[in-house]
Amino acid sequence: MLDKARLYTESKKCIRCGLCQAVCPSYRALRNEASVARGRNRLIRLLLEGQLSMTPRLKEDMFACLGCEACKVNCPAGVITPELISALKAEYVKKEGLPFIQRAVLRGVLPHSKRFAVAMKMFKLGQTMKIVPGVASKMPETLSGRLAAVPEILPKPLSEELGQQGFSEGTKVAYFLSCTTNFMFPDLGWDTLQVLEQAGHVAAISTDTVCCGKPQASLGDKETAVKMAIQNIKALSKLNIEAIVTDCATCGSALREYPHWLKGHPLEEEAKRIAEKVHDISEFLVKNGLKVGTLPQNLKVTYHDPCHLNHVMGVRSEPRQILRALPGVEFVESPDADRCCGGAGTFCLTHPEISEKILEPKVSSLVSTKPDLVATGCPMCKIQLQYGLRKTDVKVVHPVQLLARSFSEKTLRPKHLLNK
Amino acid sequence: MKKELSEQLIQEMIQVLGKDRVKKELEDLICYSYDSTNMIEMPGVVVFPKTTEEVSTLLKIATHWRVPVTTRGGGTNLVGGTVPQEGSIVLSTQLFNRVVEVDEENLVAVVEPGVITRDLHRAVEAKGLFYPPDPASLNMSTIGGNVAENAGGPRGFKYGVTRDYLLGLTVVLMDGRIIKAGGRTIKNVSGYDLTRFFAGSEGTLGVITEITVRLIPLPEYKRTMLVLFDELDQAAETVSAIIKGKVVPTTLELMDHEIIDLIEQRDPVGFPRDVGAAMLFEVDGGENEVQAQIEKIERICLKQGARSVKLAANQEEADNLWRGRRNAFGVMAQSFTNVYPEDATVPRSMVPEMIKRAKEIGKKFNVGMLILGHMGDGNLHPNICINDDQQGALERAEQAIDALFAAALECGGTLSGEHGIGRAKKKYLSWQFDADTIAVMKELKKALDPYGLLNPGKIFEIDREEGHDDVR
Repeated sequence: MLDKARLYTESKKCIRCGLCQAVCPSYRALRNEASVARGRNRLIRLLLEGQLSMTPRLKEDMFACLGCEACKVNCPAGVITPELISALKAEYVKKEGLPFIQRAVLRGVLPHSKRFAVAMKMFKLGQTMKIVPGVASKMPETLSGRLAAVPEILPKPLSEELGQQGFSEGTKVAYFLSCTTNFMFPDLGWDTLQVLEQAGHVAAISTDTVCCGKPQASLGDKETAVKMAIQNIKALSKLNIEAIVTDCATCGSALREYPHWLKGHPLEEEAKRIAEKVHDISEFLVKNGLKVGTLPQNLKVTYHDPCHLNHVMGVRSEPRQILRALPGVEFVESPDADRCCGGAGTFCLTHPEISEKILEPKVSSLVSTKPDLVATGCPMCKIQLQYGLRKTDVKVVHPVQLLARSFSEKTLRPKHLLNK
Repeated sequence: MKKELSEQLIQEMIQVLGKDRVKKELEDLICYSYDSTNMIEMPGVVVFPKTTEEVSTLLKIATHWRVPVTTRGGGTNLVGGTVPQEGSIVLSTQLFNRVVEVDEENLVAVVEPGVITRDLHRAVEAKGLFYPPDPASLNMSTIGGNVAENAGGPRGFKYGVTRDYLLGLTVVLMDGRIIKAGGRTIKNVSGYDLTRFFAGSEGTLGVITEITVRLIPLPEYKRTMLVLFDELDQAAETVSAIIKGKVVPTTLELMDHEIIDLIEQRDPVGFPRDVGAAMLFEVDGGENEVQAQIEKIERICLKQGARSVKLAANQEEADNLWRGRRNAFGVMAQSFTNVYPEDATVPRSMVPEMIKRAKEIGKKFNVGMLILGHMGDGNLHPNICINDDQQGALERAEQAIDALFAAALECGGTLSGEHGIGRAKKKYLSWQFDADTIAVMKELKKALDPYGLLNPGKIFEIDREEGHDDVR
């Protein structure tokens, strides 16, 4: 239900200073007042006043928001525009339903671990039978190009390789496995587990959790998002742990937002307890004693701030601290490191043109530092940036993967974990 | 004037720009109905030209149909200057936004009006050059808007304002004629100085479509100093002492106790909360020159009774201090429902007097009177802060603003240092200028825009000639 009174009070807080223009990725790409928080806020306000109706055009303006939350963080009046936009997106979906493909994926596949695994297996089969490249060649590059970041043949998902895993007595840290890490970049997960272990943390993967619900939330499917939040909260609250760690900026931000998603729900308090335990891996390591290995890597590395990590989780300095601490690594700051890459989960697929316009200057800034690698704390940013960098030799990695390489040249699979 | 725009006019505009750049859905009109004030009027159509020729054709069409045109950049005006007349045309420069060239040999940059000021800064600074004007809105406002408003900024003390960097302009007049004012030379006395005539004309004389600015080398060093005072008066007197001492820091920003307190409540940067005022200095130049200035400023401040003088040890520390200053407006906006950022400017020797009077006015009308300002150039920003749920607060704010302008003029100052007159300060214009002076302004306006179609209702009201013509 749209809490109209609250939304109206919030929308009225806007003082129209326009500072959001300076940080909004969709505004920088489109240079149109309907594509920035100030305009969107005004539209929502007039909608609530009854001077505007829920037109298809208004829907476009709302769905062209990437949900990066830069406006909220930089708003002098503290207007929570991203929440207003989310509420309106959800209202549209409630009224009009989801497009077929979105409905199938968001409700039929992502929430169900097994179906998700089957779907990814089918994709892998398509890769081995060389169907995927054929199909991809018929798609516009903006869609097919993003496959460049995906391994040519999908590796075995981490969850499958690991099997069902129990939490032993001494386990204090739950590793929340993101879908992207699990299915596309399992090595990232293994590296995360390794660096946790090196730093002396007994961690285990919570295998009962499902997709964090952010893809649904950002496409307006609040109903499914809430269901998944509930499922994850129930799974996590069973565990006797001190911290929940994730290597995915988006998952982390979703877990932190659960209390907002569940406002008024019986699980709201539990959601708050869970949210307080959630940490990004870089932040967790730096706060709890960072341990760095001795293997030198002769690399020049720059860093891209994922919006969800930067604006929602407030993690900026920690990944940089890790990179600076690595033997042989030269860290260079890129201009506008905190500017959105335009990936934003499914946004790059639903709005390829805007996404490209945002990506282009991002790639030039990164390339201007002449790096060997770009590090970023979000697997979704990695996909987008690798696509943007497809014409260069620059690869995109997660900072903890570089940290793991200071301990071992290759990604390790800790035996004691596999044996369980 | 509530009237639907004729469908034929819209069609003619679509013929020039194509459908994508002529917007008239309700959502578009709503988004172009305001600026950073609380004034709102719905336009009839919003157009997005990308070339001088397109602007020229659009203005001919508008003249034919006698429909007013308001040019708009970032829409961050503080006096209602970009709020259109109801049902009229908003001409947005947002897509007219290329940096045409940065000429390192002649220290000149040529830009289109929709370039965001910061983007110009970055384009020239990448080449070791410097475009000093730095209005607080520089991350959002456009160069076209900066020229039209003759924007200033903190660096005005040492480097001057937008007008001081203009070499040439391409301007489209309301009848569609394209004129070239100035050129690209530093010295240029051929004919009237039309370039400066358009600077600060608030979109009432023509549409600026290309701007040539002068650049200077980027200073090698800059340092930031924080000076604290127990009393606001001491800080105000120090401004005069600095100027008398013939030191010219790049910026000299003053914040009063109330603002510091709000900053520390809301988003602390570590200012002591018990100070009467804080001043932030930035000095730039060669290394020795910077060092000499720092010493001189320190000496003067201590002599004036400053509690402490602290030099930021590194860029990080300096950035943190400036973050406090930049957040000043934000923390006021969070604490009050209405904030009126005024910019009355006085001769520099009158700064202490003006600060004193502003505070008295705040007390008299029972409104918050929080003082910030660039000070070195006499440019005060008294911010009148109220909560509109209080009985009579809006009226009291208006009375306080009236009193503030009267005081500024009595101090030999001006209504506006950098925001412009727009709609908000129209009624005060006759307080500052005599009838003949205003009459000359209106005659000039009439000569270029006989039907009064360009940004009507700004600066002053003019009688509009009716009638028909065929300029096309």
